[in-house]
Amino acid sequence: MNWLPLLITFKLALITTLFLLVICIPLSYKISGFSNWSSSFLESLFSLPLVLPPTVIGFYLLQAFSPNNPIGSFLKDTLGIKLLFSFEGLVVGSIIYSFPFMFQPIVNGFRKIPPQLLHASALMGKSKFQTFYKISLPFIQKSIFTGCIMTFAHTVGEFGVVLMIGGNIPGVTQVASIAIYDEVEMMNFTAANQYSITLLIFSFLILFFMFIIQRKNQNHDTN
Amino acid sequence: MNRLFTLPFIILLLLFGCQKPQEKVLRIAVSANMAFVMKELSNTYTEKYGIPCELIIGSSGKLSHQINNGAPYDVFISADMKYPTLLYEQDRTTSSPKIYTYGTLVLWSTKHDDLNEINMLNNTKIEKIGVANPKTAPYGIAAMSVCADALSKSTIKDKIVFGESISQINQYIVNQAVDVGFTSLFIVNSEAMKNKGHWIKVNPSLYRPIAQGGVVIKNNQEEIAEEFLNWMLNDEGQKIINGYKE
Repeated sequence: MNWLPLLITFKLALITTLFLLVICIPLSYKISGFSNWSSSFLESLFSLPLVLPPTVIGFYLLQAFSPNNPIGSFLKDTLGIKLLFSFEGLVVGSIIYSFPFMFQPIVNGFRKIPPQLLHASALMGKSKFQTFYKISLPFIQKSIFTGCIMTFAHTVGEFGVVLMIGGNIPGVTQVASIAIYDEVEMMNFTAANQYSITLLIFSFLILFFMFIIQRKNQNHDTN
Repeated sequence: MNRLFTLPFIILLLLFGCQKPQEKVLRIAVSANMAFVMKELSNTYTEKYGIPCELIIGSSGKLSHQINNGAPYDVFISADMKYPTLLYEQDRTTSSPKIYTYGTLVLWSTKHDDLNEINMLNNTKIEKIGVANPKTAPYGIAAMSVCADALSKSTIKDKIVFGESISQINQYIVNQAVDVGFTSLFIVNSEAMKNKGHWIKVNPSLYRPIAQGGVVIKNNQEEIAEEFLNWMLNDEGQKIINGYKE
């Protein structure tokens, strides 16, 4: 078994998680304060990747990134960025694909903050940013943690999008799930099995770890 | 909070730190039917000329679609002439495709060892016949023309199951998900599949010859790609390919 596909998978998952963390915290903060109608609209939009088949996302990204297309040719010729069949492209694809997994928990976290806390902070003369940094963020720590774990785990399991825009290039875009597919295609069932079992154990551990921490926090809260 | 994020950053640093520098690699997009042959070809080539090769395996249609969208492959080894010719017409290749071999269609089964003739497909104990998707797989087109000859329309509808590419059909056959399936001689003669089940060559008069073509893709490495394709077309490469055609 080659470790490179697993390494690429984890690198992709980690970078995606970090990007989404930076994007989703301010975005969810803003949206949680919106009125019913507009927040429902935006939330539906951002949750689309949850229900769309990955092939739909992959297909549109393939169309958009293709150099035969205005967006793709602009990115390539003007900015020198090649998103098709490159690791950078996978990062962009994963950010879209895993978006709801970071967005949902954080926006729900922000909504659960009791308004009294925020009002009290404002009354005591704290600025909006200070309130955000000192009260809101610590309050939703658990939601952020859940979002990170879910995003990471979901990106590790990504397949359809990568298959369509990654092109299965060893060492560049061949993530573990694609490597498994490849080994099965070549009928190397032993190798496919090794990759699969590694992913299985890893995924279980990540969930187990998350539930342990959640349980710990719950006990902490009730005491 | 801070501690929560230190760990990912450390891991990230480690991941980026241990990336090895890019070396010159020849990326060969290869049709699934040639996968095993290509492995031997590329290994021999790397041993001899020191140029590492990477194989990207898929159906000819899928690979050519990727190349058309700018996939960074250097050589495309197709299972037919249609897809490489299309790429040539779209100015993605350095020259028109060259035929490196003719494919042979075989009927293969790991379930029934009394497989002896094509008419057996009509037998009621054959419930499912595996065929690669004729829309993207050249061997699928050949297989469909054989089936159209040997079977009635309703039997075709009942019995045939389609796979994404020839390699999916191989899995169906090996796992006995289908009773029999159409695949390539290059597969059943490979080291990994030798001695598995029974197969017969399909009479070549039942399908149009499968001329298989290769092209060099314009991807900044045309020179070494050209050398590789020429080597494959010459004695040494042909000897390896023909070793799979007995």
